[in-house]
Amino acid sequence: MKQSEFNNNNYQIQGDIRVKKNNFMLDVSINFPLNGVTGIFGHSGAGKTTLLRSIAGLEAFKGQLFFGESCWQQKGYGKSLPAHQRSIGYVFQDAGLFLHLTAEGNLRFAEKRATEKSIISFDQVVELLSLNKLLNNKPEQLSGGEKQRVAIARALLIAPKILLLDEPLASLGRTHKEDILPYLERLKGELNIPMLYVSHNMDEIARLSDHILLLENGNKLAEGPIHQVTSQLAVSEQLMSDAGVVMEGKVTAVHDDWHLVEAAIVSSTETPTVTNESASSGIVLNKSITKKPELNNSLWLKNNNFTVDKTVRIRILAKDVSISKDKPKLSSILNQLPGSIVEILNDKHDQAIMHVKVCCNESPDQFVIASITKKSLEELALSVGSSVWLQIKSVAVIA
Amino acid sequence: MGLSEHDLMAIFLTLKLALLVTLILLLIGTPIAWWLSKTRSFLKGPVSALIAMPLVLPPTVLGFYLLLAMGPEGPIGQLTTFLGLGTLPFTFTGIVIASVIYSMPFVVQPLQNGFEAIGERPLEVAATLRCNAWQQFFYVALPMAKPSFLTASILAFAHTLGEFGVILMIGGSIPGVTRVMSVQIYDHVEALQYTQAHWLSAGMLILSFIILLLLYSRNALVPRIFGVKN
Repeated sequence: MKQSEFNNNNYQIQGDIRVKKNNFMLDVSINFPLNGVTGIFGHSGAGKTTLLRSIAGLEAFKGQLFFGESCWQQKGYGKSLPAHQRSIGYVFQDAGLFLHLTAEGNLRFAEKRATEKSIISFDQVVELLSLNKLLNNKPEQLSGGEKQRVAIARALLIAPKILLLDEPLASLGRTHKEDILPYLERLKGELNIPMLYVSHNMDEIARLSDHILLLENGNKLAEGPIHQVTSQLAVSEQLMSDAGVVMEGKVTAVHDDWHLVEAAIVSSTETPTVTNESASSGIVLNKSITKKPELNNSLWLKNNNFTVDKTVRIRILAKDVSISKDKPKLSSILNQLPGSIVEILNDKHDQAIMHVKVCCNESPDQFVIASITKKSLEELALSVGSSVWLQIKSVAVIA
Repeated sequence: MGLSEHDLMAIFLTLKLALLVTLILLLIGTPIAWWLSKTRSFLKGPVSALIAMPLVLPPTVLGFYLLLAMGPEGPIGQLTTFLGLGTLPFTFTGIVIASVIYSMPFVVQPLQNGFEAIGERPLEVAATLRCNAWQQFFYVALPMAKPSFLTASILAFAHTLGEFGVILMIGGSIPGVTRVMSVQIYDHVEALQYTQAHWLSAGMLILSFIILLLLYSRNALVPRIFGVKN
């Protein structure tokens, strides 16, 4: 990226970041929107934490970094803004609470040191993260999940312009993850603060992120809005059993007797605010929402107290999608959609499982990824353009 | 009471010396220990070795070279003469400087260990909470290293109380100026005044025991006495 390409957007965090450590090399260009949640996904050793630390100013790197209009590092090993002058909040993987202070002491430490007007008051943050009963405890008296909640609260009280979270759930057991995730979702919903969320767990990323960056061995594999990235075949190959499209649906009908709702697929997870005249891609998008969807255009979902017009985030795992040539007649599978194959990754002949990208309802931007065996692919004689029926065994409502 | 006026003077002088040396050592030793705990410089080894020298050298060797350095021909002596301070041997200032050097490792080493035990993480956390390097030190490292400061202070104080060789070499035995308890006891014994020697010796024995007891049972006692949590 050239210097001139930077700075033309005040609502982005942009940069080229290169870090060389022993046998590891991180080399990525980033371009994150400064709203919503940006998930940084990769397996361990992919360079996620190094990237986050570089953005925070905790790790020296070569390259440049711009936060909106402010320059955090000039080209090369040039002038770099020290960590304590960057308007970030940082949640460390191990929470990093000050052991000599109580939970409240940790929070007050941040409150006192905040240089800008806080987005949230002490009382509000205590309420938001349910810390009332924990305030007088020392960190060693807190559970892993409680420590993380205090750490998140502390990072918010420093009045950051962006919140960086480094695998905040990694050290927690499965059940305790469920204790924290709803808080992060509340944070996202109630506070207007952009977040960078690092994780090696695609479930967490899919639940929280609007925009994602996929890292692999220090390189960028893909970056973009989550729907766009998760519907790429190259990404699906990489994610393996985690492969699956994340999209948004809008509830069109509620069926109380079946405890189900019907939801129409919204093409992109980006908030559909595009008007007809503003963007060509927006026209299709808008039509798909405003037009009353036909029955085969919608998905059946479990009803979690949804009402009509409620937007829900859904994830369809590739392994839950099967493909047949004809419309299945009698089947217990509720979600069956017509579609046509748009892409098959051909260079993966050495594998039994193939990922196939299918557009549903003949709509040019509604995609589902299916993982099927190579055997099925050959026996059904599937190729790009084949008309097929999709059977979706389960649709996870993730938010 | 078997203590003479000179004995009391020696006790008072010893306590004054030990307190002053402890204070000076905390002021000088803290930045040195901090630097040693952070640096990757090649100087770390040589500086550490230099500071640890008094642990292995006979006090007479240290005293001998300090005497030469502070004397009229030595570099320190020439400097102090030039500044109009005269020469330092056989003065209170002289034994303070000698004691500071002699007890340096007893302050630097526990502090360095304490700082190293804190690790990088709390300082990084502080950096993300808008603390510059100074604030990271004063608001985070210092409070976290509190137990180490206590250990260092006790050791410096106790070690200075027990000094003999260096003081005799540098300070001699001038009542009220350089004649500390250990020297006073030596003088009593030389003069075959065993009763007086007993009084002072027993006093030092008990005092040293109490101080060391404080140090080694810190976990149980100190928090109750000083409100410090280890």
